[in-house]
Amino acid sequence: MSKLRMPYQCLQRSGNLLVAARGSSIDSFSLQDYSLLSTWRFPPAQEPSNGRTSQEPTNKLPAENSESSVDIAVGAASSPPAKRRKLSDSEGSQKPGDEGKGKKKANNRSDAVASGLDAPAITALAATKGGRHVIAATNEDKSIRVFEHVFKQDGTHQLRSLSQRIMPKRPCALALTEDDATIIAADKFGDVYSLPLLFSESENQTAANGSSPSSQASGTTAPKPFVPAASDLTVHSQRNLKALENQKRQTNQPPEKSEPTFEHKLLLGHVSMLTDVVRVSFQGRSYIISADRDEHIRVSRGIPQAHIIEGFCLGHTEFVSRLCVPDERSNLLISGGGDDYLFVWNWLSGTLVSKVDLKAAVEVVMRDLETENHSSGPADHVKVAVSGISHVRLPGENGVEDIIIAISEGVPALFVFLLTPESHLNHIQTIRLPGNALAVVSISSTSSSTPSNDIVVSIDSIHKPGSTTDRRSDTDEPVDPLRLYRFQGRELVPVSTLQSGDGDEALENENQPGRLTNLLYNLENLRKRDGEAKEVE
Amino acid sequence: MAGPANKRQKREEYKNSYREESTVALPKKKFYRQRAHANPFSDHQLTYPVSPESMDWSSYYPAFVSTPPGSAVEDSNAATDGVRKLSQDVEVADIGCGFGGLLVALAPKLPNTLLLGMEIRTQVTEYVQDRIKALRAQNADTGLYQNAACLRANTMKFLPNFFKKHQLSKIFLCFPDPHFKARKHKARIVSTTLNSEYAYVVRPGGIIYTITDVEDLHNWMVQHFDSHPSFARVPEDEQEADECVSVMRTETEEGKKVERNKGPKFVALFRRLEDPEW
Repeated sequence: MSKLRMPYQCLQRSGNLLVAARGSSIDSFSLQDYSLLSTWRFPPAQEPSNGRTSQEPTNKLPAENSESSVDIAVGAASSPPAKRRKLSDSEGSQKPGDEGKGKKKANNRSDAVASGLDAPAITALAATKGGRHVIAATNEDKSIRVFEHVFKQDGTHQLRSLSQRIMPKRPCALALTEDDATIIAADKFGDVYSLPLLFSESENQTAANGSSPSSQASGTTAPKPFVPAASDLTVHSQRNLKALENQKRQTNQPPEKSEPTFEHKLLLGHVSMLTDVVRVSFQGRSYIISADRDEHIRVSRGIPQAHIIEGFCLGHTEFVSRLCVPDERSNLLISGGGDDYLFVWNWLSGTLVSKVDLKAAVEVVMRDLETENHSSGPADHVKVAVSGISHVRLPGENGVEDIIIAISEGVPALFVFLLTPESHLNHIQTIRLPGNALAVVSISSTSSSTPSNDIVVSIDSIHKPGSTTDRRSDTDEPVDPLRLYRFQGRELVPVSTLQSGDGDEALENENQPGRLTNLLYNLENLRKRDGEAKEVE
Repeated sequence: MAGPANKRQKREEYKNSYREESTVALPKKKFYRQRAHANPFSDHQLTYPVSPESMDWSSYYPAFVSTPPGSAVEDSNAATDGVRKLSQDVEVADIGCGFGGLLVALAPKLPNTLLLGMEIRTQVTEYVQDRIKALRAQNADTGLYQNAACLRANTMKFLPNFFKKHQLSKIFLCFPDPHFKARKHKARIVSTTLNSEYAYVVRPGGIIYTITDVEDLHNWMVQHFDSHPSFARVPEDEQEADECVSVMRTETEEGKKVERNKGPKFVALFRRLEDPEW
């Protein structure tokens, strides 16, 4: 019986390496030959409450084991020690709009224990341009972790953890400033923070005292005696007056959530869940583009004027989930989300340049799938939820050609578009995959002797193609989770699969199939469902 | 269960008969009461334009439509066959307008400016709409109140869907929900990040008006606007010279209520500064 392999949910190029997150561990691949160099594993949790953690794998690459012990959580030292990890998933069952709901709900959430994974899952990866550092956002422990590539003398590679910083809310998208020195992190509550890539603990303390990250400012100073903000002049109803009296009798202030102690600044915020953030340099100026669940794409100035909004790109009618600014044509923005279209914007002016129907292409794939499986269903209610947009610049007949590759949640295909000089998207190719596409990254190497333009796509090896819930059966042929494609001319052709680490990320959650689904397919949950009948999950 | 159902029925009956009669009498508030709090983070069932350009203002300000249609009747279907443009843009927004006291008081004072009340509670929005309709009918000869309108919106989420960059000259934040609990502070209408949105829709030189009877909230608002680089507080003498301030103090429904209870009122005005070079 083939053991199920955990698929990769995030891919990121980091210098001449490819880093890929599967569950809570990160694999590093060489871009020379796409061989696996090392695996970083989440250090075992300290608290015994989570019984599974004892089964840490003990063999594999030599680098790994030393790794988990080397891991020093710098920033974490200052955080409450035995913070109970919110383990995955319950999030999926919670409607995204409910963020502001009462305490009761919050408690329920933290009580939900045990995801399919042993450790917090990685939800976003970023890498410095220099290629030396990798940044990862983890979901359940709300952390941002910084790693460094280390090549040892014997030639082995190791991804060394430098720091862990616990954010106020779950980070979900990452970007870096032009100089690679500052991380820009967007979170699920709608705020975007900046924090230094590297920091030392001593600086850290002083910086924390100096920075007042706005909103909750004054709370950190000496404990004041508790005075209710309301008074009998502002509160009138009998019940409220009674509550006020009770408050007055209460002498000590209820404990408030403590602010993080490391340096971080609030740059901007939406009153909505953020889904993606990119930083662009354009005409010598820096900008931050952020997208949210409420159809907005916001363009703000870069640091230090991030409080100034330059404009909005308005036109989406469903959530926006992915943004892509092509490096060489940075006046353009390609966005996708729950709409049937991919949008092309002139983002600085906020004007829509063009849009292209992605749903039609998705429907073709889903229909083919139906006929192959003699099943009926999915194609009838195809929904687009763009989970990846990638740009490749190819040498073309007359100069260069820009290619945009998009993937949609739960669809086993790559959709290839040509971005014309007039900034239109023409659908030129659909590539069927043996499993749902989870992430896509473009890897062009123009510097080496043989310039090549590669695409690495991560494939769901657990679920059936076209489904986000049905597991593959044991009799199915196992699928390699990473596949390599290469452009020959304008056409994308399969090259090989990547030899990934064995299925050592234990997948023992057979009894909880929904949890993994929530890690791999969380975009469709962003769709608003007001009034309409709840769709079949 | 009989209670609420009965109440709803009475409300419907009242509103139906009220609208059918097309009287010029003002609506009765008791049929439009609604709990004073709404969760701004919830999705609700909001209607909002995709962008300011696609907003059809013609049904809200029929007297200001630049090319009036054949029939002068308000036509809600107009949006489908193209947006009818107004001769001028909305310039004043009352965010959380409540029962519309400020709108109604300001409308005659600024007859050539379009005022918009924005309220998240449906019942209350309806009240203000009916109230403006009645006032327009009462003042048909003078044409007053044609410049005031009200719509339901969650401005914390969707303000930029209604207004273009630098469209507004004034925003009023009158007696906002104080959200006393620290845990609820993020739901307050003033925050560092929301102030950036106000700065986006208000033109340089424009003014944000705030008033509250809760000192704690007043300090909060002052602190957040003061620390925002796009705003500077308007000095007190200038503040008191502004005629909108006295209207805001005395004409808002909450202002009157605080007056009755002899409560304090805290006023603060903030001017939108020019953006620095980028």
